[in-house]
Amino acid sequence: MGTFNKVVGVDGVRRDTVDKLTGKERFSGDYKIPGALALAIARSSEAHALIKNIDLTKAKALPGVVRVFTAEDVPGENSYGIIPITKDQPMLAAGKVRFKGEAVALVAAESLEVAREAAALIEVEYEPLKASFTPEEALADGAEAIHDKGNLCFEHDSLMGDPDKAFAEAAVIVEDTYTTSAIEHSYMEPESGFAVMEDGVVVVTVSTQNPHYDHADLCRLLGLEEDKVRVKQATTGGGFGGKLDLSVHSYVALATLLTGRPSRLAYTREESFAASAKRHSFTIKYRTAADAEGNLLAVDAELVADTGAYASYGVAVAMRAAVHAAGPYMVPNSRVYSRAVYTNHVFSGAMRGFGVPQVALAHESQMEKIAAKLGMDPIELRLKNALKPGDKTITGQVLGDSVGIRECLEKIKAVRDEWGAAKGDDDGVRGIGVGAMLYGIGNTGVSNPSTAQIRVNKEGGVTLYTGCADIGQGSDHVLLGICAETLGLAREDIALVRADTMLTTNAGATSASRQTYISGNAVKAAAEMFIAKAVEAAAKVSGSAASELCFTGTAVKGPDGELSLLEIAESLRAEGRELEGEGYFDPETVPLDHHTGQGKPYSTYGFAAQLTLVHVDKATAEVRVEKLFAVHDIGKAIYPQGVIGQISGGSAMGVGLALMEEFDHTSDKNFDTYLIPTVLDVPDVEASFIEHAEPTGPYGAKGVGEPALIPTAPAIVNAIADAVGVRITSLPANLERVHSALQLMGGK
Amino acid sequence: MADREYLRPSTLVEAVELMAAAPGRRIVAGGTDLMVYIREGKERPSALVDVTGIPELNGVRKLDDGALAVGAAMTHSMIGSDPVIQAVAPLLSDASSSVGAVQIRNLATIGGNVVNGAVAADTLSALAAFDAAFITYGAEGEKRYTIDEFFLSPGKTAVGAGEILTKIILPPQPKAAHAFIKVARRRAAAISRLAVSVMANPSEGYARIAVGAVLPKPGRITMAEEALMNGFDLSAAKAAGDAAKAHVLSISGERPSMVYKLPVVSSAVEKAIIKALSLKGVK
Amino acid sequence: MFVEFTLNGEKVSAEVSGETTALALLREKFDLTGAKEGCGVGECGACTILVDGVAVNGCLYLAGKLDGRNVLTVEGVGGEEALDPLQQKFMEHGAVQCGYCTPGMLLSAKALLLKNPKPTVDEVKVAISGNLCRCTGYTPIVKAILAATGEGK
Ligand SMILES: Cc1cc2nc3c(=O)[nH]c(=O)nc-3n(C[C@H](O)[C@H](O)[C@H](O)COP(=O)(O)OP(=O)(O)OC[C@H]3O[C@@H](n4cnc5c(N)ncnc54)[C@H](O)[C@@H]3O)c2cc1C
Ligand code: FES
Ligand code: FES
Repeated sequence: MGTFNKVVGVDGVRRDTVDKLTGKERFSGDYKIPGALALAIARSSEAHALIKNIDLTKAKALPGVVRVFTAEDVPGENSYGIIPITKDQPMLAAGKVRFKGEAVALVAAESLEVAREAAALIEVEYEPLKASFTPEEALADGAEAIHDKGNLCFEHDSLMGDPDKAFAEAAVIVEDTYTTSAIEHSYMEPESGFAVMEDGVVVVTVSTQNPHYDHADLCRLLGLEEDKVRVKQATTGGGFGGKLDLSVHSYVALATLLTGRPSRLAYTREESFAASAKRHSFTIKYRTAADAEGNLLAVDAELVADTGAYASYGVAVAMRAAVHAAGPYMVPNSRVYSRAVYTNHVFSGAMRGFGVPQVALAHESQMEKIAAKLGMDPIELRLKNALKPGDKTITGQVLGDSVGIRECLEKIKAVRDEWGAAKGDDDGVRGIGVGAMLYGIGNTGVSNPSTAQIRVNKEGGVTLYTGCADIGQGSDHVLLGICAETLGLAREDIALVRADTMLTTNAGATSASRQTYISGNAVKAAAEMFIAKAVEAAAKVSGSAASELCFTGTAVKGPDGELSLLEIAESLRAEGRELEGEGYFDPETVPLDHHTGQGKPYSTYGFAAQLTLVHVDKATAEVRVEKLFAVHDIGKAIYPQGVIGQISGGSAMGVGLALMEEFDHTSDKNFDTYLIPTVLDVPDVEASFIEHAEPTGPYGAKGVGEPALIPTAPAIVNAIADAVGVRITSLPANLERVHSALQLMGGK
Repeated sequence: MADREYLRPSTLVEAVELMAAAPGRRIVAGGTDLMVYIREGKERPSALVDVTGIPELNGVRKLDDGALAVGAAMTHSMIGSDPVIQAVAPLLSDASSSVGAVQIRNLATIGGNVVNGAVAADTLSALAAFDAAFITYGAEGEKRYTIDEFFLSPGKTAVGAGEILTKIILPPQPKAAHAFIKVARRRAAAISRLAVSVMANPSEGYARIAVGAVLPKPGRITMAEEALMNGFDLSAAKAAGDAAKAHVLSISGERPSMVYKLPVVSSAVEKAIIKALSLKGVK
Repeated sequence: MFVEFTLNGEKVSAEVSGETTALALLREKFDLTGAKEGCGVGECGACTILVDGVAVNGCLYLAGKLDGRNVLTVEGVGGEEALDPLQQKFMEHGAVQCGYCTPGMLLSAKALLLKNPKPTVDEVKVAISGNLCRCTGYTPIVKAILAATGEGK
């Protein structure tokens, strides 16, 4: 049905592009809001302390200050968090602060200058507690408990087969410890939003990845019924996981609810750095066993993640990292123990890949070490072990048909042969490296449905309603494409209402690379239902058999002429029904067993391999990534340019992760010291994809957002190792680390 | 909060008067250092006196003795593309071209770079290689400083409040090959971990070597220059690198940040010499 | 201080105090919100504007300096009906994702092409090296700018 126009697989032009190019597009900070209060937050100067007293006298006395709020003013439950079992974060600290930069009080004033000045006048008396800044410190005897439940936020075990026996019988065993650093998402738009009261409803317009979750936690914090809060997603300047948590939302909502006036808050970059989530730093102890032919026998990994002061997505990260610990390989025996540990750092949350980029460093380094021990070609070794349809993952899941890792590896092998041997020059040495990965699409082992509706609009056209937040990656274009393809229309024919909790239903978060697959399926189902309903109603009106009728996108055609959608809608309305298609999709998963970690965490996986060529300057240890070739199995490219854009953007982020990004909690305040790649630091990314259609995906599609980044850092680290003969096991591979590797090389 | 005033004198005399008229005023040129300090709360000037419109601070002039007078308000972009500077002092052009990124270079001045006096400021090693001198104008009239007199300690120069840097003098040098190397954590808009400036002319027995970002104040490393003059070949380049390292070690010591920098001073100086003199083939 | 300048082709004037930046002035007084604040310290380029054809960071540029100058913001670069060749190529090459960096990127590219209509790849990269983009990985942006040089004036 519905192939009058070919939309899927054709780029077209995103509807937000022209406005973004002409400066017309308004982000939330670009609106003028008459009468809006300006907000400023007083933040904790202590990493861990009891709050003995908060003196607001001076702040309140400042002319222009309208009101000052503390935890006592929070009308509902002063605790939130994305994961139901760990709602441990207050919007304003209550009695205790757990990280430096935590919000303690909120000022609403007539101008931003006054609000900020007042916030600086708030005097907080602290009784400092012993702070822990590493998981080891936090778990040591005598560590001060950061939360009542102690400092172990979450642990996850996974066991398959008999790893001890496999290690005992192995021909080769390699082991190492890998560490990664905290990373700042560095979306270009810092958190921002505003709130207004409309007919007794607090309407929050905000930069977000997750409007329906925001809505639920705002209701909880404000103690309001669902219909008293509305969240509208503003045009969002990137997210990468960092805009899944609440940020400015609760402050503008609280100020507007309690004063009745509009209010607005935009974090400065400094505030964004201090108070928003970071990527978890990991320490990974990893052992791998293989037989003499290079078949992997077993993996034994222990993962420890610093989840900072609050859980946020810590549970999801620790669990997903464990599930992906063995990479895209068939490993019959495994033991993985993963923990997320509270510390007094700013909280860690979701960031592109949820712990998988971290474990990928480990499994991809291990593959190289095994290849070296056995004298095997590293790509051949990977091919030998690559997962196939029907293979079992380390959670015991039997894979379906869409498993494209072999083809990815074969492609990069061909490209590597084309590149030829890496040759050094007068200035330095070169090396080539590989990275491969698998990535489960959607949330781990839990129901995570999406919904969508398609209705006839007043003009007689159709409108797609989706709760899915487009954060710049182009999900609107993807969902419109799926909708258009199914209905036999062009994208331009379809109106879109998105990510507004009053007008749309829950599509789940824009995270876990899930929107194309999950919301795409919901949209497709809605479109199919819409067609069926229209045809059925038209049959009734015209008296023809449904089989004689044909849906044209704008009408239903039959032997005796056609009925427009408006006419059909009218006939249905007479029966008290609506011409509406409702779509729902929840990927099939089986929760992971608490003791063994076995189950079916995802219904499908993306796969990828990347190849890099690096140059290492022998005098200065500077690393230049000269080439990067990426190939991703994405099922089906609904919007090919978008796929390429994700791969190119993700790879650039991977270059940062590999070479320069390392969030220093004490000194990094802004982009002057926290460095992310500029155009001169990234290669021209040669991005490509293969389409191993996923039978359960919309038109075969899976996802690509996070996979884009995961293989890059391992590929770079492996290329450096190829160049200098010494393996770097801690990220980033910065000047100092590469220099010591070079010195070891010189010493050989 | 009192509004700071923005003042834009068109003559040196007016500028000096404006600076003296009220306490707490600050000279501003491009503002790329000062505006950041203001945002960070490190500076709270009562008024900003913009000196970029003063004729004496603009343009490049060749003096009678062959020296080059570079106006303090010249931006790094101008210095990077000025034909006279490119011809006479390409080392300085290269150094200025390595500052920040385009937008910063279009705004930031060499005067600001120098008076701000950060250890990692990118023009300092080049200016040291030239033995540059600095001309200021203040309440007591014009003053001239040698580079050694001008830079006191990290972030501190001899320029007093109300004293305006007008020109930087580059004394004449023999025709020489040159190289400027900047090592940073990324390739644009990054503070130097290390910078190296080299000028050399084997037939004249001329060598100038200076390093940036590793010494408390800029200056030539004569030990390294002498080592290079001893042959101007690969082994002399290596010896010069080692001498530079020994010099840095004797002044800056073995601090943790030096674990990387010290050995790289030696290899980067060597590399810069090889590059300048096209001594092919690093062993 | 009272400043008069040309803004996207029109004569305008404003009263500014010492610390006002061009970015704040354009956004607040003239409601030109294409230039964004991404860092406020000169590192990200989201605030890039052209002053006398030269790209500068609006977040560092003192508004008082605008007096007598010619300012171009993204709003002056070409409209919906007649896109500038750069805008056209950005669109075709998928060089826009979240769009927060886009106005600054465009203006850095514009400044380059005004001065150098046929830049090399390396010149293009240097020209936008003061503009951070976290979404695209830059590859599509570089391609778009190079493509625009075919048609640029
Ligand atoms: C994003 C970014 C990147 C940067 N990258 C680099 C880099 O790579 N390398 C580097 O070296 N620097 C870098 N800087 C620092 C800065 O740009 C330079 O130091 C620049 O040269 C300062 O010049 P300015 O005209 O902007 O100085 P301003 O900020 O105007 O002034 C700096 C100081 O000098 C004083 N001053 C200025 N001119 C005079 C004068 N004529 N007489 C007396 N006093 C004066 C001012 O009062 C102030 O104290 C960077 C800055 C930013 C924001
Ligand atoms: S806001 Fe001006 S450079 Fe970032
Ligand atoms: S498109 Fe999002 S930062 Fe460039």
